Amino acid sequence: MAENLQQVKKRIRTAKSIAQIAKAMEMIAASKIRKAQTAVEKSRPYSERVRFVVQKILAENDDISLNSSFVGLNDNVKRKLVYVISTDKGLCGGLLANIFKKVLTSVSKDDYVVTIGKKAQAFCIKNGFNVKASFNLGTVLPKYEDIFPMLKIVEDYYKTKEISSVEVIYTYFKNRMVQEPMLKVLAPIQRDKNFVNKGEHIFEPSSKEVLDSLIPYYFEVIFYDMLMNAYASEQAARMSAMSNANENANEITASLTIAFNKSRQAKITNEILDLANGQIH
Amino acid sequence: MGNTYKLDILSPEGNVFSGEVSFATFPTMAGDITVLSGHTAIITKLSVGEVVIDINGEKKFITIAGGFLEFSDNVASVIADFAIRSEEIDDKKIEEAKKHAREQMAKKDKLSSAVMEHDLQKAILELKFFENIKSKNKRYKA
Repeated sequence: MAENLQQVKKRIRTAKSIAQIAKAMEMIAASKIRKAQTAVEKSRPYSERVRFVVQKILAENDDISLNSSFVGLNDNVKRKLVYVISTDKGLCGGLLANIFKKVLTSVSKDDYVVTIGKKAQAFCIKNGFNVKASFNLGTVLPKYEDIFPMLKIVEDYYKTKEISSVEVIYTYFKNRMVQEPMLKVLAPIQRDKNFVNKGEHIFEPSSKEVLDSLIPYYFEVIFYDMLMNAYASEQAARMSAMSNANENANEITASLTIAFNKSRQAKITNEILDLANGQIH
Repeated sequence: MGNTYKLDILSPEGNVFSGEVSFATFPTMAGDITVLSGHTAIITKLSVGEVVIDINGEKKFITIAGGFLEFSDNVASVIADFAIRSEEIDDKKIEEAKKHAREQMAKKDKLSSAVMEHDLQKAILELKFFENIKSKNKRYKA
């Protein structure tokens, strides 16, 4: 009996410390979301301008005159290059499972895959996808410079004409409660149907040259946006997962405490009975 | 007043400069151009160099590593590039990432699952224990 009591006591302690850790992780995640949100807000004017200039050039020219490999489809090749943005760490609820479901339904074994985050790497390799490169993120907010090497791969494969399009699978951060796995096309560049072209611009040296040198910037701002979305989603998912964990741990603590008190009471009763009966065990 | 225009120098990390200027000089591929208020709409590529901003005779200098200038309706925005894009560093990182992927692919079959299984069993045992306690408590309540 006594041994059992000790064990229950130990379990109560464990449950309590789990609750504490979960609470702390929840709070850390909350502050990380804020960081990601301010980073997005800070970069917004820049990214809006880049998008505007690209759409402006697209609106004033057709595909043929631009003669860019990033505009219009490359029909000869079927293979895609897919970026999978996941996390480095687990403990974020159904987020990873949702991303992986998307990967299974939309990526074929022939496609090239670039994984970002350890979890995507492990998953894609296990399922036999053609992983060409994998980047790790760590747990801190990704820096803008971090994405240059990630995107350089696009240019390399485009130059050798091995791929026809570039897609990105990431988690869209709708709000703190809702995050959705998404697949978006990075290249070829999509024309924005809502774009209103007003006024003529002079292009120097020419619109084609401006576009060609602007394209890397364009990919960067879009990719950065996705990376930030993925980061914020990860933290939000972790936040709710940890808040659930905290609740569950508290529940377990409560039920264990009741069990502990009951068996302690039973033990005392037995001892009193023994005394009253004058028996010695 | 009246002959000033709004200039924003934008970067991914936030706005570097934002305000009304009398005129400003930008380094383009074909040499410096000075943009005064009422300039015609223009989009041009910028090269490495200094943007010289003049606010009522007061001069300000901002060095950029390249970028783009867009001017229309008396609003100028510079998509500024401050990051030094070093091909070498990037290439090194890509090589690392590719190597990493290859290594992991090769390792795939060798992964031992014994440790994981042990942990899993332990977790299941713990769970069962908690379930027991929970159902016992329910019985007490009933």
